[in-house]
Amino acid sequence: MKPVGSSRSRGLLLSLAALVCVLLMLGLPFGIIALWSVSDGWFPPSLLPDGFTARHWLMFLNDPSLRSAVVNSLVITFVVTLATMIIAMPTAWALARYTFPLKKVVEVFVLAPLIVPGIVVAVGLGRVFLKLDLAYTMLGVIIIQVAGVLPMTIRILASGFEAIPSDLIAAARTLGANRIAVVRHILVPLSVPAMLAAGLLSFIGSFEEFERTFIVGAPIVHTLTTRLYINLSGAGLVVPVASVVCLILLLPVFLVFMLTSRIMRDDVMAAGMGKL
Amino acid sequence: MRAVHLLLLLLPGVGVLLATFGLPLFWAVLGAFGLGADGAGFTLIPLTDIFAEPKYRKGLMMSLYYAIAPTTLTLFVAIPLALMLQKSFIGRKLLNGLYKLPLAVPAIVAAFMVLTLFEQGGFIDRLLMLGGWNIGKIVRDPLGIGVILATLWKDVPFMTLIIAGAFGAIPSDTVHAARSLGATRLRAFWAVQLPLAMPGITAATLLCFVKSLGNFAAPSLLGPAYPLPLSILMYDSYRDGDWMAIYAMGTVLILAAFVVLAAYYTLTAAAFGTGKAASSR
Amino acid sequence: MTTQAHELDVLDVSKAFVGTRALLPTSFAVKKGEFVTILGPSGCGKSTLLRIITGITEPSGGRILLRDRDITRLPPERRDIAIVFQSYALFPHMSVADNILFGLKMKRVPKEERRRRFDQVVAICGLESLVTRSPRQLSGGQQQRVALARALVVQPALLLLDEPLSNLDAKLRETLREELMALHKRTGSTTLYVTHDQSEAMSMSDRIIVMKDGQVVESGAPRSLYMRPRQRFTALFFGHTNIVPVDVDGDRARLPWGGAVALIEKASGRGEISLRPECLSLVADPAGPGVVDAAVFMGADVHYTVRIGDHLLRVRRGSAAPLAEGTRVSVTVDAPVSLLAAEPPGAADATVEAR
Repeated sequence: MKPVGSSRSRGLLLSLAALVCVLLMLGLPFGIIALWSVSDGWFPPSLLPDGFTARHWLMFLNDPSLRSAVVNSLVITFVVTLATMIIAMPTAWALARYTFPLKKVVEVFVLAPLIVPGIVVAVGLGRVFLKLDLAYTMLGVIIIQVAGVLPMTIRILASGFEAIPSDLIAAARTLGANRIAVVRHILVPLSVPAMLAAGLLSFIGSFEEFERTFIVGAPIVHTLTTRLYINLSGAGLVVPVASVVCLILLLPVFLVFMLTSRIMRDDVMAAGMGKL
Repeated sequence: MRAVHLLLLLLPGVGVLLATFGLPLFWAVLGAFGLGADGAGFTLIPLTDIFAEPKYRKGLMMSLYYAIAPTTLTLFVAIPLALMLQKSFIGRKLLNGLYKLPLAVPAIVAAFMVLTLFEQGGFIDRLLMLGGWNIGKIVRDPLGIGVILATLWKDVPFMTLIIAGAFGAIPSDTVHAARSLGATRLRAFWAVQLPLAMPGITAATLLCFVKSLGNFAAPSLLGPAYPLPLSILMYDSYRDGDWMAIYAMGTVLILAAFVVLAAYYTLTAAAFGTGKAASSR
Repeated sequence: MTTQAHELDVLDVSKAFVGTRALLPTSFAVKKGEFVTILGPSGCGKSTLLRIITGITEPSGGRILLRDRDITRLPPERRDIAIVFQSYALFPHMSVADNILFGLKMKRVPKEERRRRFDQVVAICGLESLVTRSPRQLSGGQQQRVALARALVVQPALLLLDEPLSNLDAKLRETLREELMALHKRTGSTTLYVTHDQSEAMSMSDRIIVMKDGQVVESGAPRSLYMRPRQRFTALFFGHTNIVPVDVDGDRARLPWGGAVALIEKASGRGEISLRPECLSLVADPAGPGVVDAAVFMGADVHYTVRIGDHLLRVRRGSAAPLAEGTRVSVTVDAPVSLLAAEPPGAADATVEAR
């Protein structure tokens, strides 16, 4: 007779596996980068840096081109997130709450960018921007990033709006709420999880974006990711400096991620992505 | 009145996508046949060149390889991880928050991590040296192992998130019913959980595949110098202003994505019968 | 009495939760072919108990025997227990036929036997015209029948039904209740039924186990639980009743307004009894101690409220010869009753032997 196995020991085993995974997959790579960023010489075969220094961090603070990349990254990300949400919301609402002829076609079209390799769209749009003098400008970078995150944002918002029962709206109306009151008291509060998920994804999608930005913006408009790429692909790769840029790059995304993941619901995010 | 209302609602999103996605794409496909503003009349030469010239032909193979290999490997990591997240154990909440971190990490940072860890002289190499082993060539190697590692690291959370959502949407009583009817844990998984989660798994796989197909950062930093995938070749042609070549490569990549999409749908539909109809909502 | 073998023995099974919904050590037995209902309000622990018996939840303590085999640590698939869930839990990606065949395939029943049992159960449950459909295309009642067929076809040692009727509308519920009883008669399957609906429990069961706050309150045949409950909770849970304080002397209980009732057991001192409204008789009597305070005509019955001393009694009588409000009446009790336990049951009382 084979016993079920005590659920407690199975639980402990899972906990242990989770710990090992997190340490190996996340702790190790981030740890090594952090060490590199403060290392003062770290040559093989030693497993720890030969000395520690804050020199690389200070160098970063004094590098105007890096500073401008940080500013560019932040400005672009905020504008892109805001613009994407504003553009996506009406369309998502229409897709979620209206039935109309050719609705299926519109839905497929909105999802289509997800199944076309990003680089193809980037190069195609880059060609248009060259003609319109939008290449190598902030505006160009912003537009191409919005185009990149828009499909997912619409998708997540639409599935969030879909989930609001029509009965609630009807009930609110019968209780004397006008259109504006319905939006304020029913729709907005109930859409918060979807809006958070969509906003977070466009924020991250924009901040970590590289290919489109690189094609449209570089070498005039640099964000942190394109700067890092130049650092890494050039002949004189300085690991500590690259590590500092990496950590700077990770800081805001992690902050936003940590803050929102506490209040965010996985199912909302998965529902938006898991349908093709 | 209602139609005007609807059009106004649809306009921002659909309009922006038409201008930034539909038109450039249309233009590119047109350009691949020598039509449109950059073309000089109908021709098939740029397209046939891709299959004739070794540089492009191998580039296409490389693009497909960089997409299929990590996506397949990711599936094998993401499904167990997603199942693990359905269980309750100490630290589950923490794991559930942490495993998603790579989603927020730029692909270039992931590539840099692979560099610091796996390059010769990297941290793992140094660890192995203690035991007298050598790591071998993992970065810029002919097999592109470094590229695959970096892509895998980025894709696992993405896929896990979607697949865990799909598994989570299956009512637990459905699985319990299968168990009490005599199905072992494994058979309940194969006969009930997997088919019901299939729409989510399919979607995740396809999204991952397409994302990796246009992968640029990881192959250019970690991949071998030859053959280069189409994404990098496209970028080079872009800087050179060789529009015909770009449009041709772009069209082939889109075609490749569609072919794989169609093949995948046909295969999963055959293997899991009505699996697609069992939406995970 | 106990010569007949128990099909299921639940021995001191308990479940500790971090929250409030714990299951205290619980014991009971089910005989072969018996239809036993676990009845209680939501959150009383009946679903937890059911999940432990199926093997979905692990108990913190105690043992479960099925046909004298200890199954406490067995995984669900090796227990020979089939369950019908409240949600039916049909496999949405399989046809009705595949749903029903699932268990037979899992248990590796030979092809011909499979065919035979399938045809049989499909006929019994009246599913002939539905076998090729998808569960999504079925109404609630049809889904319920498929779930039942899926469980019955494996011929389990024990059939568990977890509130199988509560997702259906009232009319359908009544029809299916009758179908379920007929089905039980035909298959003779040992059945454990969980519900919060006392009328369901009374109409279907050979025996009812009443649960509250994670423990068994009392158990017995539907009629004796209804007419002669031993716990105040049971008396109130089974519908309207009058809880009346009495003075007990031997097997007579003296009512506060004079007169006495026969008790089924001997005792002494003060106590309480439960008098069902339909067990009281009213007779117009100018010298009687009561006054009809209100008389509500309900068709077949008239519901009276009778003031008698400090007490208000509910009385239900046929409407053939109604009494007007304000009529002076005397009240008599038709049937013998039992005393209610003075204290809420402790762990010791919770153990109920199979009768």
